[in-house]
Parts: sequence; structure tokens; C-alpha cells
Amino acid sequence: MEFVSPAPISLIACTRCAATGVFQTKKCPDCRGIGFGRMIRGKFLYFGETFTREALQFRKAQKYLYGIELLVGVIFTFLFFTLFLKDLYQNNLVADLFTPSFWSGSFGSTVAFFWLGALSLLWLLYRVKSAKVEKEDVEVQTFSGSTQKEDLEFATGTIETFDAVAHIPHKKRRNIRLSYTIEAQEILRESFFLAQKYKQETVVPIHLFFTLLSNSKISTLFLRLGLPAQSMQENVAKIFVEGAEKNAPKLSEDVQKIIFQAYENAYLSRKRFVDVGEILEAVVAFSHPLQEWLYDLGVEEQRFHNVVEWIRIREKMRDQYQKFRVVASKRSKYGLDRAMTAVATPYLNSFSQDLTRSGSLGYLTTCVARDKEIEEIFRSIDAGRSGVVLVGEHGVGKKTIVDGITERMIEEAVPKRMYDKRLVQLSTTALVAGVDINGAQERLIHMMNEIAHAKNIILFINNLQDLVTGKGFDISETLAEYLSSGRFLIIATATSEGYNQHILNTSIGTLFSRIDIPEMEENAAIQVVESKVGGIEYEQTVFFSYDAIENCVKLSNRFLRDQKLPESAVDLSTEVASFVKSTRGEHQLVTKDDVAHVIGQKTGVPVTSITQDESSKLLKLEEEMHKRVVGQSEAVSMVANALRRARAEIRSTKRPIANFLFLGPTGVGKTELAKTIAEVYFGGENRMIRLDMSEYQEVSGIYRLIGRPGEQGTGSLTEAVRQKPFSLILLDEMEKAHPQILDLFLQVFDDGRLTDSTGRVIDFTNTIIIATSNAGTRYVQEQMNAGVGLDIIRENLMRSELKDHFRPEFLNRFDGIVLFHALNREDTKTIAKYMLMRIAKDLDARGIAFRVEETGLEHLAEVGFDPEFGARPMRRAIQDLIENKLAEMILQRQVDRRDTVVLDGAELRIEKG
Amino acid sequence: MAIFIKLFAQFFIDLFYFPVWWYTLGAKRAFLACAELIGDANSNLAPGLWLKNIFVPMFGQTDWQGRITSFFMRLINVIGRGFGLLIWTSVVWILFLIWLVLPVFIVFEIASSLFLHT
Repeated sequence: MEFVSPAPISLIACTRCAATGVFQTKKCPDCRGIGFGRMIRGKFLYFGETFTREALQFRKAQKYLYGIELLVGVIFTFLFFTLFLKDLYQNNLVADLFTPSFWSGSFGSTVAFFWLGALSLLWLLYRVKSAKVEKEDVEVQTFSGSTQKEDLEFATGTIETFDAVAHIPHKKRRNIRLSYTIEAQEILRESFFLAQKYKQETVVPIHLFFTLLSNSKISTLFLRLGLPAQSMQENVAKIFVEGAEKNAPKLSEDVQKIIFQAYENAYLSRKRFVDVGEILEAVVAFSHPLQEWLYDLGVEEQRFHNVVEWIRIREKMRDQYQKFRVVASKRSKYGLDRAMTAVATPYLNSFSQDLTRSGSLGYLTTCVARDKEIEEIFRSIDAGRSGVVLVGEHGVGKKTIVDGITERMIEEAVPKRMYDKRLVQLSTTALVAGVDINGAQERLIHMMNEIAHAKNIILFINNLQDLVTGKGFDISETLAEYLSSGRFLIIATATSEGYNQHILNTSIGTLFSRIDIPEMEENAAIQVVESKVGGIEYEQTVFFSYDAIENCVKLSNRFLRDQKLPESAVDLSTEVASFVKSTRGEHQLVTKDDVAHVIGQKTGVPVTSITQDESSKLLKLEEEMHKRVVGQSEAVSMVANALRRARAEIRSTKRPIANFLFLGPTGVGKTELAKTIAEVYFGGENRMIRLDMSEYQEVSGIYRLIGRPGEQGTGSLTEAVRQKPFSLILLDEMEKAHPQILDLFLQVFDDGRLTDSTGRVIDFTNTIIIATSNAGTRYVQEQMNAGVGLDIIRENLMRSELKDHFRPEFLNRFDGIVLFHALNREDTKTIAKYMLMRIAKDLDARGIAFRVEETGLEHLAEVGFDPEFGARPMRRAIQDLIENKLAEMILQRQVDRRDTVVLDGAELRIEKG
Repeated sequence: MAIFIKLFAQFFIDLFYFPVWWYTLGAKRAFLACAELIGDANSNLAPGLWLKNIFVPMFGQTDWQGRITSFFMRLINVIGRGFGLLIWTSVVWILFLIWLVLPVFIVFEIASSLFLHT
């Protein structure tokens, strides 16, 4: 499985010195020591490091030398000052320390010690400062509206040889090594030594990978993926075979490209330095064998990128925070610009909150993975619109986007129109508190005047629909008037519903430019959770694996549909963290099964991986089910297959788990089978939603199913499924329902969803739906008795008999139409046995034994068997013959503890114990 | 072996490069640091900005009283801030001079205390 290849990199490499920059121990005359480089964005990039054995070893040795030098310097400083002090105390000169005669007098040697100490101190200062190498930031992408394509076109350039390079002015050259962190540089050097150790000819990507695995950041990365770095290293080391190269290895072309690709990665992710994560990304992107290997270990491209991105996000957050504090501290705290030309806005201030100010003080949420939306908003503003409204569902992150905009305003990475302005959030509650509509309008007018006067305010209104509900409360006209003057800039948010109902076709609607904020994609949500997880890990002292984060997003997307991503995923991850802490203690790893467990608790859906016990249970499902249901082997097998498919997750998740139509005469076990399924699969008979369709014979019944229009929570079916999304739905006597109600179920069977009366979509994809019907029973009986095959009977049923009751498109949507056949004598006997077992249990609770002789059973079978009425006559027979008599016996105290009641023939005997 | 010779050479260079560095690269860095100090002060005090806006009324008060008061306020601010910047620049200059003079001074003191006064 291949990763997406990065954009091609065209390098030039000096042939004379084989890209090392050194030719016969001197600087290579062809490339002047540069070795290899590339032309991009109008600049020439090169990596200023000589990769020869001598140069690198010397660099290593220099580090030790530096340590020694510092040590020597400290010793000498210490020595001199000690001697000075010793002299002072020995000759009792302390008192004279501050007299000028001391310093220019006859205590020459003593004073000399002092100055010598000062000199060596100064020398130390020099040594430390001269060792500090100036770093250079990675080039920065600016907001200019240009796309990546333009940058790429620069990449080809016209540089073919190093002669041309010599003509490039120094200003247009860039040594990208200065943008690498020390750690990252060390990785490259260590990889060289590794290749040398194994006497390889070239340094190849796998050497880089091995070295990277020793790095703590990288090993943490793989740990989060569930792969211990040490065992990975052992596996990689197996490939290393000692070669025969006597000379030092050279950098392979792939490694050269990796060095530049890492830089590109940092550039594209707007990082300031190239760190180990970028190198890892580049290494994997350029090595197909590595990609294959990672894939076998369960890491495919998207997961890999998300984990690397995680590290980047954390670093960026830390980095940005520091940079931000510096910039923010320079901003005025009082809402005025530095030249104090702006106007104070006391009235507005009392109804609002200054977001740019809270932002400077560090109170904003970091906005992640919404760059595209923010760009769109800026484009609108840049184009001159006076108002922008962000439209989306609750919880998609509209307010967070505004926080992101605030942050950029402070950094001034915004369109010119937004420079040096305050972003002020209007408090809608304060606006309407204590006044009627006129009062609120007055307040608003006053505020708008202040804003117009101040000229440096951008107004933000959260949940605009609250102010324009139209139910006798509508300030939209006032707003519209001010907006149309074009002197303001207002940002607002609104829910989709609110927007469509109250804003869309009004004067406000035309003045605001609409920007849709869709629910986040899973990958973006994963990034958001990654950015929040740091805080959660700290608070709960647990440690998240990447899988756990991914599962939080995936499962909350599937099962917690009441909330939107990313809010649902973030809330879930907090819950899971505290769950793990309370059950397993501190410093534990949160795995994806923990997430599944918590979801299972919340929704009742079993999402944990299938355990050993469960798989054996699933394979013997028929056996389990036959413990309660007698006969009907075809029905049981059909249902068991559907359940197995569902649990192994080999099914479409856009439909209910299964839908069946049970046809058959009365009392043969249709409902019993449904109850068995509920118990076996859903974990309890009470996880069954039972609807008697004979109550819905009129069209108005629809409102009882989905709820009264406009009222939430009044639909019996929709509410039941919403609260228990993982249940069995039993629709008894389906043929009695009104045809229009049957139509309702068409979309349930196909798409697994139903919209209730308030417009909420209820998810049916975790239900099993069973409809029962007595339709066509007579026909089925006749055909069965005539010995016609079940399939043929079913065909004919669908084509003719059932057409009177159900439409063909309805019948077509069932996974299976199950024919229940009438019970024969043997079946009825078995049923009797089960019923008697229940009686035995009851009696056992009283200490009374119950025994049934064969004769008794036969007698029951005689009396209670009626093919037309199924098993119910048996129940009545048992009731009449046995239960009534038992009740009498017990009340008359004829039976006592330790006695045995025996059913023999038609009689009940008591054996005293 | 060659490495040890190189290292030894490096050690001597590091030892005696001190004055060279101090007055070339070191001086440049010190100069840049001082310039940054002055630049920071300039962006904090911003006398130039106040001068640029000398006729812009403060707090948006555009009546004639406001304008006159603003003008005088701004004038005083420009003078005061400019003066503050000047003082700060002098301080920074002195710091830079100290950097330049310090090694020479110390060596001089050593020499004089050893050879002139014993």
C-alpha cells in the first residue's frame, strides 16, 4: 500500500566530490563546498554540512573539546578569585577594599589576581557566546491568496550546474541546516556513522529510520501507535549486513532528497524549525519497503500522518503560545491603540466582552484544522462584505473558529481591513435583559453609534438567530440599517435551523455573507482531539494511545449522533480518561477497547472486540436459540446468520442490522423467537421495543409513532429507538397497519433512519426489526401439507397472496421472509416439557420436587395438541390440568417441603419425602 | 592521529581567538543587541507615532476644545517620549562602549598592578 508520493524534488549534486563538498581533503572547486542543493521559490537551498568521516568525527570531538575548555575556564576563574580572597583575608585588607589606594597602591599581586579572575570570566563569556550558532527560521507561508501551485512552478528553475549556482547572490541562498534543530542534525550525523559502522557504500533511508527510533520523541510516537520502538529497532537491525566498503559512505540520492523534503514538510505545516518528526515523515515517504512494513504493522498512511501531526500540533501549540505571549504583551490592555487615536466605548463595553483583550491574556481556545474555513472568511472580508455569518449545527466549532480569528488578529495575520482592531462580542442576554423590544433596539442603536465613532471595532454576535426570532422580537431591521451603510464589519454565528427559519429571506440575510461550517471530517476531528488530549492527560494522569483517540472520533461519530463532531469526541475522550483512571489507576495507557467499553455502557451497543467466549457463543447460536424455541429450524438459522454477520461487522452500517418478516399461524413461536433474539443478542428481553400495529390502523397513527409536529420527544417509536439505539423492534400484526404507515418503514429498512416530528434524525442502524403477520397462513398451510417446497411457497406468496396486504416494494426490503410452520405433536411435547420445567423451578423454590412421567407427558400431548392453534392450547392444558390442581394442593397444605409431586398420566400424585 | 593535532590546534585557536572575536563578531552581536534594545524602546514609547498623529484628535474628540487639548497633549508627549528615548539610547550606547573597552581595561589593570606596583 503506497503512501502518496510527495512533489518531486529536483536536486543538483556535484559529481566531482560526490556531493560531499570535499575533494581530496580540500574544498571542492566545482561546487565550492556546497555539495548538493535545489532551487525553489526563487532561492537556492543547500545543507551546510560536510558529510565526510573526518569532518563529522572532528565535529564530534569539538563538542568534547568545548566541554574541556569551559571546565578549564571555570577552574581558572575560580582559582584566581580564590587566591584574591585568600590574599585579602591573610593580609587583612578587607576594609581597604573600597579605597582607591588599594587599587592603585602596593598590593599589586593581590589586585592582579582580581583582574586576572575578571579576565578569565570574560574569556568564559566569550567562549560561551561564540559557540552559540544563530538559528534561522523556516520560510513562512504568508496570507497572500497564492496557492501551492505557484510555489511549485518556481521549483523547476533553470539551475543545471554549479557554475550557475555561483552567480546566485548570497542573499538568495539559504543554508537549511540553520533551520534544523540540533536533535534533527544529530540524526543525520548519527545515521552516517551507522552506515559507516556497517561498512556501507551509501547512507540510505533505512539508516535514518533506525537512528530515528532511538530518539525519544519518535519512540513516543510509535508507542502511541502501540509499537514499541525497541523491538522495531531489533527488526530493522536484522537487515543490516556488514559490507565491504573501506571508505566513508556517501549520502544516497534518496537521503539527499529526504533532507530537503523534511524542510518542505516544516514549511508546509508552518513550523519554525525542522525537527525529527519532519525527517521521519520524509523518510517514510521516500522508502517503499518501509511503507510496506509499517502497513503490515497496522500503520497505514492516514494513521501515520495523524500521529506525526499530533506531535506537530503539540509543538506548535507550545511554540505559538510563547510567540503569542510576546506579541500579545505588546498590545495595549485598555482597548486603545498606541497613539491613542481610538475612542473609548463605555456603553458598548457594558454589554460586551472584548475578545482580543481576553486573547492577549491567554483565554482563547486553540483552533485546529479549520484553516480552510478561516481562509474563506478572510476572503469574504477582504472582498469588502460588511457582514459574515457562520452557519452550522451546534457543536461543530463556530465559536472556536472565531477564537482562531481572534488569535490571528492579535498576530496580525489577517486582511488589512482587520488590522489593529478590537473584536468585541455582544452579549445577547445583556442586550435584552430587562427591556422590551423597543428598549433593546434603543440600546442597539446607541451601541452602533459608538462603534461607528470608534472606527476600530469589529462586532461579533454569537447565535444571531436568538436576536431575530421574529416571535415579536426582531432587531434585524435595526441591524440591517447599520450594516447597509458599509461602515461596519460584523461577524456572526447561527445554527442552520435558525438561519433558514429567521434569517435567510430577510434584509439581514442579503447583507450577511453566508459561510457554511460543516461538521468536521473524522481526520480533522482526530486532530482536534489530539490538541485537547494534552490537557486531559495531565489532569487525569493517563496516557492516550493513538488508537484510542481515533476510536473516540469514529465511535462517537457512529453512535453519539445527538452531538456533532468534534464536541462529541472531545467529551467522550474526557469520560474515557476518567473511566480508565478510576478503574485502572494512574499512568495507564488508554486503549481503543476502553473507548469501546465506555460507548458500550452509554448506548448498550457491544463494540468491544469479540472475546473468545463470545465467538464460540456466536458460532453455536442456533443451539442457544433452540433452548427456547422449538422447531422452526429455518427461521432460527436465518436469524442466527444475520446476527453473526452483524457481530463480525461484515455488514453495511447504513441499514438496520437485519429485518425479517415472520409469517405463520398463531402461537408457533414468532414472538418467542423475537424474545430469544433480544435476550441472546441484545442482552435482555427488555431490550425489545414492541409495537402492536393493530393500534395504527388510521393515518393519524403516524403522529403517535414519530411524534406530534413541533413537540420533541413525543413519538413512541422514535423516542424508544433514540434512547435505546441497540434494540429489537417487534412489529406485531403488521398487516393491520395503515398502508401509509407502512410507507414510513420503507426508509427505515433502506437507510436505517427516520426523521421525527421535530426534524431530528433517529438512527436505526443498530436495530433488528421483526415484523410478524398472519397473512397468507391458510395458503401456506395448504401448500406445506401438499409438500411444496418452502422457496416456491415463498415466491408465490410474494407474487400473489401477500399483495393484498403489502406492497411489493415493501416486501422487497426484507432481508428474509421467514415461514413458520405449524407445530407437530413432537414439537408440542417438547414445548410442554419446557413449560413444565418452569413449573418445576417454581416448586423447587418452595423445596418441592416435581417429576413428570412419560405417561403424563403423553397425556398432555393428547390434550394440548391442536395444529391450528399452535402452542397456546398446550399452555391452557397445563394450566387446567396441572397448575390449577397444584394451587389447590398448596393452599390445602397437602404438599410440604421435601415432598415430590408426580405427573402420571392424567393424575397428580404426591410422594411424601 | 590527525584529529588530535587538529583538536590541539582548535584548542589554541579557541584560547587566543578571544580578542579577535570580541572586537569583530562579538562586537557585531553586541551592537545588534543594543540596537534591539533601542528598537524595543522605540516601539514602546513611540514618539514618532505620536508625531505622525499630532493633529489627530485624541479619543476622537473632534470639537475645537478637544483638538486644542489633543494638540498640546501630543506635543508634550512627543517631547517627553523623545527625550526618554534619547536618554535610553545614551544608556545603551554607554553599555556598548563598556563592551568595547572592558577587555582593554582589564588587561591594563593587570599589567599595571603586576609591573608598576610590585
